[in-house]
Amino acid sequence: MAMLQSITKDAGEPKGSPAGKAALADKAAAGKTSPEAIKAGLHLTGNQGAQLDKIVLAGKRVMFDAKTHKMFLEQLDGPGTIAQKLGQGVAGLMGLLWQESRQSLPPQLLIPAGMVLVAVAADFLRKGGMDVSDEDVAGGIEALVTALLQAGGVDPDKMAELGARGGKTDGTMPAPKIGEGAAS
Amino acid sequence: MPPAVGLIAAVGSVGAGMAAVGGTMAGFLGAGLGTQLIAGAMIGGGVLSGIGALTGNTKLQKWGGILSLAGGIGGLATGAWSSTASSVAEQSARESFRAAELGAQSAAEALGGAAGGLADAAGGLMQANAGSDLGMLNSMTGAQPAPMAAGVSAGVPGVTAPSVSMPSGVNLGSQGGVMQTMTKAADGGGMLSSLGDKVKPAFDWMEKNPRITQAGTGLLTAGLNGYAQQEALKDQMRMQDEAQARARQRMSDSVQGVRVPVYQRKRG
Repeated sequence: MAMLQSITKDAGEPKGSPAGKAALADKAAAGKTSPEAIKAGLHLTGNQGAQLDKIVLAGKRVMFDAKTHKMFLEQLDGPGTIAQKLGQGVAGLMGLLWQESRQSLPPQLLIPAGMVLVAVAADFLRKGGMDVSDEDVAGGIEALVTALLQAGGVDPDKMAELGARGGKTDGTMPAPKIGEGAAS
Repeated sequence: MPPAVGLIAAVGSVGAGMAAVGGTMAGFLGAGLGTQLIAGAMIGGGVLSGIGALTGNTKLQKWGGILSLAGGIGGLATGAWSSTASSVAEQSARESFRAAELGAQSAAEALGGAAGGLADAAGGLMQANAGSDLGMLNSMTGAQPAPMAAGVSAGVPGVTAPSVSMPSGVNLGSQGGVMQTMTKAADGGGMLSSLGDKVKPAFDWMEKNPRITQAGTGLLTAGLNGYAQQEALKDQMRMQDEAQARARQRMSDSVQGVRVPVYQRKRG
């Protein structure tokens, strides 16, 4: 019993240097906006998972290849927040992939793949020592979806309005109470 | 400079240089893209809602609500999303249609002026497709649009297209070209929105950096080789099927009208 207690106690706090602890804390904070978490939350059907992986892989190749990495250094001083750069950049990347694939990418996967790529980019920035918060990722996704919807001729604000309406029930079903389960 | 900074720059530059995303998509896919993108938002609806709730981003939460319009995850599985996405796309694109109407109005005013009026009107219609950016529309047409009244007719009286020079890259068709473009604008729901203001800077940038652009596209081609091969294979199979069908048809045609003698035994 005593041994069990000591193991539990040891596991309760991460070992190592303060920097290591901070890194672990960051990882925990970024867990909900990690690429894996975002992909896991997508409602993919059929072979959409495999298709999404291919698109994300193609996007990663562009983002992380040495040649393209060098190519965009000139734009370092561009205006905008990290969120805007992430979102609009990935939107442009999706457009480029779309163009280069001869429009063969499934269009319904552009937004989901873009969301994952925003998280991939944010993850990479974090590993590089930059402070990228969950809010930045959220802002990046917002910028991405806005850009793609506008490209598709859809008014993002109008869609948000419809979505807000959709989020409310019409009385046929009681609205789920957030936090009720946790409280009980 | 940490490597991460390079990526920010990379991502930012892709955004600046490749802002042609809208224009690119617009030219090739047509009106269905909006619906498909909304379907994509439905696929990611849960994530949008979750991250929105986590970070307090209300826009993401609202977009996430789109999924519930289709009946939630069950709606995605049963295919109910399709009609819902189409409906949402239609409703969300209405602003563009109104702008197109306004663009037509301005186009008619522009026609009343100089000989090149229709050309400007064409540009105006293209810009009208942008939906919200009416300021640019005004500058393109050079006319002050009248305040839009409810139920403005889509018809443009007195607008005729023949024998007027068109600016390059603007295809209005022949007779009734303005109407044609306007219909496309309404159908496409703003598909051409990014062409006017975004494509040009992108191409300017590409012209200034030809080697970089070439390197980038080469990499992409390598990365997307699988997709290209799939498409090529599809084309090849289609052509083979067509060749076989033609061969069958030739054989069939060659024996048409031929009467085959049938031996009948005498009954005795």
